[in-house]
Amino acid sequence: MKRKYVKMMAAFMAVTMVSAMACSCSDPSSSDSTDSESGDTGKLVFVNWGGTNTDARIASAVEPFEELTGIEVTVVTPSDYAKLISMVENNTTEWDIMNCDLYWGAYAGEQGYLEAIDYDVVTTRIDEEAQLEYVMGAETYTSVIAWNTTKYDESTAPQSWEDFFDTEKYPGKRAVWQYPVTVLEAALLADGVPMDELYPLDLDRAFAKLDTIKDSIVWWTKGAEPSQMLATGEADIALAWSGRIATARDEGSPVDMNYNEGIIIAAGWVIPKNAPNKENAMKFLEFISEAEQQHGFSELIPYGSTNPEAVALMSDEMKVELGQSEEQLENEMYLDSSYWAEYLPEVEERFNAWLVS
Amino acid sequence: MSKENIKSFSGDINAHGVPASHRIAKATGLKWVIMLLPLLFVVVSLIISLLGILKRSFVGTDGFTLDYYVKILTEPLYTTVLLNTLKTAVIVTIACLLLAYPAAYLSVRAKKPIVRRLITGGILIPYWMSMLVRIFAWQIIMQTNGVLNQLLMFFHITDEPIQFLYTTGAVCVSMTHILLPYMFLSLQSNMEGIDENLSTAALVMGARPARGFVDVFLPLSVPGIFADSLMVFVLSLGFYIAPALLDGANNQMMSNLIEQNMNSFNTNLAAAMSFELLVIVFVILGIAFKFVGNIFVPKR
Repeated sequence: MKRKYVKMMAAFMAVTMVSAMACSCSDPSSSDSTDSESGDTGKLVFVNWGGTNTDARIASAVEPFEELTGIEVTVVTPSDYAKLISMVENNTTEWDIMNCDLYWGAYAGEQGYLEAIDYDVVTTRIDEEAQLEYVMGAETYTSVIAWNTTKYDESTAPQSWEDFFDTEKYPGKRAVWQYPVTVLEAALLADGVPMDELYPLDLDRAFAKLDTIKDSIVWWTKGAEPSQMLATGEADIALAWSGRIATARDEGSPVDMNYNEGIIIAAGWVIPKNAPNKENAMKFLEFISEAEQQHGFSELIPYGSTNPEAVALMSDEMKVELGQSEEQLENEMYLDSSYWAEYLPEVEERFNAWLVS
Repeated sequence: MSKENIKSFSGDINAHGVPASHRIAKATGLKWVIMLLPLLFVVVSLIISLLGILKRSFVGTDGFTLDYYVKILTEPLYTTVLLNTLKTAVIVTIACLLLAYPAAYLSVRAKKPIVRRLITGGILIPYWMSMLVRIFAWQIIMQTNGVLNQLLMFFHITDEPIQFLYTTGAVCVSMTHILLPYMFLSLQSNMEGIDENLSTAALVMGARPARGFVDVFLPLSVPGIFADSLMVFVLSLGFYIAPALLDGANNQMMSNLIEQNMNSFNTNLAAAMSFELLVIVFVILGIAFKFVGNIFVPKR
């Protein structure tokens, strides 16, 4: 009897170990202490990525919103796609508004995980590409060419993706995002495809081009990694997110970047299906999208905005800093969110298969 | 409360002078409640959600399907990652065993308590540090311009920095570091259960110390070796953070692939992969039970 019981416990232990470690891969440390009452309650649960990004949002929008409306906002970090999916599927939605990548929001909306945005309440108009049925654009960040300043300077650094893929001109390791988004675009641009003819992506061609530098890539998965890899010499050049490089540079890291052929990714706001405070979420979405709040955010953290009026409020210096001056924008492109919303899963699978091949 | 007091207390819980705590402890059915509550918790929080995952791995948008399993068992991406995961787990288990066994043996057989404390402390103190901190420390040590490479180049063992980071080797080193205390502690408690007189007897009968170890001590410690290796192996299979931070792209592990699929709405595929791992664990446990008996219950 006793043996049997212990045996059972041993089996449970094994089950617990595997499932705890393998099944719940999403960050277990995220805080989600929120009451989910139905109906509008004067409350709002706001989900963001955490760190300085969230601090900037709190100062530029959350606190002013609370003052203006008296609605009590709970801030939860980090944004977690898997968690949103499982909350919606189990009908236990606790979040009201979450920051995500625009293409992810477009895809999640198609799959029925999000509330459609009520454009009667949300009257602010932003860039058309970023104003979609289920997701509305927020800040922008750009996949750019970055480098270690002890190795290269502004003039000797890669000036285009073609340079970036040139292992003779730029030997040594390059840090690249371990994700197909913007990486395949960069490969095609390097291979000579014009910006306005990129979509739908020619996958065969993109992977063939990536093959040419596969051996000299170190892959990164978290946004903070590339600046770290550049600073420590793990890589000399990188495909990295502009905001992260700018922050690292301003903190004294030996890194820099240019916006040549930068690929702009918009982040967006989504409202999960059956959000407990849906109406407050729409009101908040309107508030946070307004030029003043967007601009306030960009003042605090080096991210651009999908609201052209917010960009117009910026000083010329700041526009250049964020890659949003007219001159720079001519040599940059927007990521096609609708393409990725449609093809992300299959392209990601092919990308993963290519990685291990 | 002395042992005698507890022993002398037999049966009559209403007798005068029996402390209330003992009356409660003797109350009929209490031990069942104590056992059932955690069991209920496990059933509700674990088994039921596991069933949900199991269902998800078989039921797609068009009803019942085996597609997900066919996919993870046939497509190179998934088989490669599975093999890589198993390989890493095996390497880590062996490395932990080789490092922990001598240390545990020495600490158990040490004549001076200070030796035992030093060994145990040396292994346990890192165990109390945050796992993340230790992984980052390895990152700093192993990076291209890191301490390790600088040392190697200083002594002219190599002229160019070696790529340590983002390799299976880096993952194995940090996972071994993290899992070593688990192996050590359970080996130690296992070895403490081995009667020292048996080894002494071997010596008295004329065996050399090495022979005494191989013929007497080692066989007695085998059940412990199996049980602890299995535990470390199972823990390694699901490891997430160390591979996420130290692995390169071409040597990913299952947990990371599962996470990616969770985020891209391939929850069915993620469920199938989770179950694949679980089944592998059960099969290994089953084989171990069959051949070595119930390894989690040391024979007294």
